[in-house]
Amino acid sequence: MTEAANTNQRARILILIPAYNEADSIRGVLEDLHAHVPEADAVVIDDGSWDETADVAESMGAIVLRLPCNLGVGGAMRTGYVYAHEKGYDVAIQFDGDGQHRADQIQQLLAGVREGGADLVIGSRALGDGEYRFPLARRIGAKLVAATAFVVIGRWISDPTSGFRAASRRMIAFFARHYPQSYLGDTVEAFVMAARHGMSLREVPARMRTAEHSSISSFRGLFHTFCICLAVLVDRIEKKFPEIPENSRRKKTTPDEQG
Amino acid sequence: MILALEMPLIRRLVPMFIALIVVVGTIEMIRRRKLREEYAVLWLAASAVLLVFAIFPQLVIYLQRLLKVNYLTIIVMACFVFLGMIVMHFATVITRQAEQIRHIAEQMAIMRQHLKELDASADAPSPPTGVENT
Repeated sequence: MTEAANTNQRARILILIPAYNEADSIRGVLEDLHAHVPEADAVVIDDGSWDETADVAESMGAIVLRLPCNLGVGGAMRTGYVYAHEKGYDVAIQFDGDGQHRADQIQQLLAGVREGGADLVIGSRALGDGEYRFPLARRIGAKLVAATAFVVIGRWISDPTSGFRAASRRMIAFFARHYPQSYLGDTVEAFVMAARHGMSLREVPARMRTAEHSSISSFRGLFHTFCICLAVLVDRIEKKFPEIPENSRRKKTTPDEQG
Repeated sequence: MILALEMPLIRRLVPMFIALIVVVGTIEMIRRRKLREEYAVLWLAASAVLLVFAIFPQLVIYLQRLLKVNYLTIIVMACFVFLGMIVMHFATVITRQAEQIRHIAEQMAIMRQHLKELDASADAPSPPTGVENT
């Protein structure tokens, strides 16, 4: 599977940080990463922010990809994967720009890719000692989403909306082409798509900081949950993507015109 | 339902006239490059259908009997079907273009970063095969 990620040469690691107006937290995030995984490169994907997110990140020595317009988390994430793919990184780590994820938890993810040989490793808040406390509504929502995903891919992912993940080389190549761009639930759709296309998944326990701004009301939360479940079910009926041929571009057929 | 063959002339001429206007208008738009052929197909198809019904009004009567609805209902239904097709077509076009925009945006972001790296390495001392103008 990932023959390039052997231990004889150090795996090249890229940390993907999508950020939209995160100027306040991005410095802390990059410091955290530098302290715990200094060997990894960090790329901040600035999703059309209007604050100084990109400048702050640049001054911290991160690679910054500035999107000319807001594409949403999914769009920003795919941009990161395209970059990782073009630069030939062995492992990509998805990491939030808002400070929710903890850099000291990255080693577990990496181990899942390196030793475990998984293509997509998901850091789960539900596994392990579980000091992370969801509100009840959120927990029920997560269970519903997990159940829907289970129906589609036949695997129980305990923390389906976790955005703290590691991707192997194979997974990077896949996500560089097909990362879901939905506004909600791109995390769920991403692993569902991955599993449907033969990627191996793995969950490892991961601690996270509690997001202090839980601005979503439980009614809207319920609605979001419903949307995500629906999107996952739609994924079930979507046609699978063809195998990725190396070094070839997608062809678009245009109706032939008469001269 | 005996008036099938003695349809008033005006009833046949008006749809024919409308169909012709749509055809001529569509072709003129293509000629002026204000409309691409791929988006004109539906309009041309619709005017062709209209033309067929104008030339053979018996078809409408036949449909009327088949579906057991009256004349106006058929016209309204046809309009809805056509508009629905146009909307659906636009939706697919928008979906495709959104994907293209996304692709362009991400390539732009990456190229901008490449450019910055190139600039930085050009400013750096001793480019290996650079042309020194001392």
